[in-house]
Amino acid sequence: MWATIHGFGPQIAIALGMPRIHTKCFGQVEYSSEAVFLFPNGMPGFESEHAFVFLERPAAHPFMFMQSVRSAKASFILLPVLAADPAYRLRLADEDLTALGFSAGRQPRIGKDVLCAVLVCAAGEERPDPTINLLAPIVVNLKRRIGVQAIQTQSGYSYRQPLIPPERQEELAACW
Amino acid sequence: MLVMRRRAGESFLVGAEVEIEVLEVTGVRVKLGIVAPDSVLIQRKETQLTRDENIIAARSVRQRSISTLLDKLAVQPPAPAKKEADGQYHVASEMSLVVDGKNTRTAQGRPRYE
Repeated sequence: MWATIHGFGPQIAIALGMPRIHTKCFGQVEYSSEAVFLFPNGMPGFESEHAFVFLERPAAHPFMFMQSVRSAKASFILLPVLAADPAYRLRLADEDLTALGFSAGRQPRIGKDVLCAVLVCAAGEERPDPTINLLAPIVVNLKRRIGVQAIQTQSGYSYRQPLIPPERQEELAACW
Repeated sequence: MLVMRRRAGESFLVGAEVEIEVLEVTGVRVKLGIVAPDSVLIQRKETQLTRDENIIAARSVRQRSISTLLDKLAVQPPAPAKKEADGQYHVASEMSLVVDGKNTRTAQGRPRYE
């Protein structure tokens, strides 16, 4: 039912003897060690989480989920950055390029060299409407299976951008 | 906010133990040198904002909030039902996604009006 990102690597295998992750929302999920992505620096606030798997299912498309192998609490909702903003410009700092295994000076292409996705904060007690963090996307080198959260210091992007623009919200409210 | 003008090579103190020196000014960028005790955390403001936001985002991951997100955002509400020749209203089981800016894709959605 759940698998890693289609086309980006081996799917989570459903077989006996596979290691299991305790996910925050989806129960236990079996995975193959080849489906694990390494985050050498962790993420701000989650510095000791270094191994994540990506989960998706057709009904949740285009959202994906990122789950720490070690800790159920470190679980995030992701949206491919181009689905959020088709004109998004990624400018990685040299230290992030190095961490991902790219040479400094050449920017990777979204969807070809890297997967680039924003973290979604779902609506709840703390946030009346869902927001996305365009300032600090998750960037993953698909070949090397290394990821970073890359803070786009000079970009001017917001870390709390409404997922749906206000005019769409009114439109949706009228529909429902 | 206290405003102070300094040139390259000049410094200022924050409290008794933190010293910040302006090392270099080139165009719109300023290079600073900071001397502080180990107990003082020094980080870019964006890192702090991202840390706080990450923690809130992780806390927001709950089955209910995911369902709400998918219901409201991933799947476009069905278009007003068209009156068919036989007089029956028809609800499409496939709905188009609205969040993908470029391509309109379709995904299996739960019909809401039946």
